[in-house]
Amino acid sequence: MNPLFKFALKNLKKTKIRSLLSILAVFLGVLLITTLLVMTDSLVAAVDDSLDLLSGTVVLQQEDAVDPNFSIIDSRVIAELVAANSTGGEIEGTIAAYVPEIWHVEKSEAGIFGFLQVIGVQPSAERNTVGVLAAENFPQGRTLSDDDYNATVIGDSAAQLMNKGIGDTVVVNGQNIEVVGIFSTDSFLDNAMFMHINIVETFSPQYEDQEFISTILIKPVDLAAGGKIKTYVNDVLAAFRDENNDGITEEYDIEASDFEQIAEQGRQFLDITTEYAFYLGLISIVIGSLSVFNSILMGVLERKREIAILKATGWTDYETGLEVFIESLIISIIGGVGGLSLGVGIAGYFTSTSQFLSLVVNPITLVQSFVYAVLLGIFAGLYPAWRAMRIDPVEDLVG
Amino acid sequence: MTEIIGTKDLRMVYGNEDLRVEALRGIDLSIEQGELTSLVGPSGSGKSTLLHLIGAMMTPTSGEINILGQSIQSFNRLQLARVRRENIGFIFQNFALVPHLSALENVMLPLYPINPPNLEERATLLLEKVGLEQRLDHNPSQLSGGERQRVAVARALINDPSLVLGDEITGNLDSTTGKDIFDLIESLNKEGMTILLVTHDMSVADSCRRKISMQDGRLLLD
Repeated sequence: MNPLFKFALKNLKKTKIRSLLSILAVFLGVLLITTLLVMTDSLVAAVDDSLDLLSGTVVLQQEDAVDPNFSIIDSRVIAELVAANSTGGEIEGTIAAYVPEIWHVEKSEAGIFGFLQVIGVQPSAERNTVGVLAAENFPQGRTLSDDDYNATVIGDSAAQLMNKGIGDTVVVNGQNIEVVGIFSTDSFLDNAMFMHINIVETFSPQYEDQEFISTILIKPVDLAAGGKIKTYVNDVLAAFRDENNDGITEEYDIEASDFEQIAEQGRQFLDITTEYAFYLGLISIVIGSLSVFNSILMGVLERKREIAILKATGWTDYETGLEVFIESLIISIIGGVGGLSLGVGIAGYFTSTSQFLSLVVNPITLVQSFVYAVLLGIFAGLYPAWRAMRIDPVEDLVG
Repeated sequence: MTEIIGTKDLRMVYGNEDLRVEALRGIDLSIEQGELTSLVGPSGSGKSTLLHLIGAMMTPTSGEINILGQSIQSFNRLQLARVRRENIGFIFQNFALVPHLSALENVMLPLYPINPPNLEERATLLLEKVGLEQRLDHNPSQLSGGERQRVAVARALINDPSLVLGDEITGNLDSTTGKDIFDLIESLNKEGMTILLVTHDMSVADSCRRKISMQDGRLLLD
């Protein structure tokens, strides 16, 4: 081991508690930023997978509804669209109605609570739109058919959480429903249960009148035609509202969006989340840096005489500064590597308990976190190193 | 004989225009290789200032200092540090050891930044030379005053200096231990080392072959 490095280690060891507290401050800072960044990477990956599944789709929901669960629209819109489209419309694809309804709470054997979304679909229409119910997504059991009124298919994440298999019964809203299939799409939908739309509509008063649904999805034959279809549907709906001005209800205030638009909004949201995670981590890094700065500077001020001895025996200003600088780097690197490792571990734990997140460790994120730790050491060590360099061998040795 | 130290009209003034302290008032001095010289004088006579100037720890207000033929009076901090590392060994009154390092590490300390080959072997040999072969791993707090000063002597020799400067090397020691340390210094001088000792201890001063007295910043007797 290089003697200068060994000497720096001994100096840190001399003030054990102070050095450990500084390492802890760096450790916590890097831990926070690593956990946040790895979690964000995992979230972005999960959302991207889900976006792939819904690519090209046009989504019709109640205007200003932030989520399908808050959208109530009149199902007769489908008939209006089909009628308008039959006379030279732009829709070339499949239309399906959805009722994302209740959140079903389950507790796993490990004691973890999971929230499963129960989605009501027209099985054959769903197979041709988003296609979760496509037969190839069912490694176990079978998909739903249009006359399955007392059956459900569940995603593999949901099956794992509920510890249910084919032929088991799930109690939803007080009704016993048989699991007939388990699907896998590698998306957030693997955390959902699909049932016939007519059954799910009975679970909640807001959709009990079977004329109401929450969402209509249109899957174009040409995935690139989503934008054109969206414009066409909005024009048809506007015309319909104008023609029926007197009898129109708020369930006809429907807006069509193409999924790329929604995906873009989702990506923007994730970008903002990543940015905030970064700033939050940065604040913790700055706090860690101040702690290292304080610790190293105190060490220099306390060791003025010792540093003067080093200089009297021939150490140059640069070498004394370098030794102090190495001390701050050692603290930062030990705290940084520790924080990085545990940060990935914590993110791994969180994703393992999540139903739709998988741990994604981006090497760039790891390098980023490590670089933050090193930069922290550099910034924290610069001023104390400069102070050490300015120590005068005569003044500080003789006093 | 080779001149190790030479000064001409060396002057050092501390303070500012309002408060001027003339520590040295024109010192002309020459010390040749192999000399064992003592520098004595009352407190405030300027002997420590002269020692620090000769030791390349600071630069004078005016005049010349030559160390082994190099004029160092206008050297910058880096050049002075190099002169100290390459040519000079220091022994301080209060040992000036680093408390959390072992005797061996304290001896190696001056050369840590350049880490020359066989540094540890050389430091071990020097500690053996000063009679501390059994104390290599002891920290200063585990050593007696005499042993600590022996470590300081070994440290002063680690860079194989041409000149050893001592500042009150027996000042913190009892007379017996002080004599032991002086005997060690004398034996080094007999091996050819040039040594300059600042001291208040007249028995040390009188034992040196050359004695220089200072008063009020001037050389009084040589």
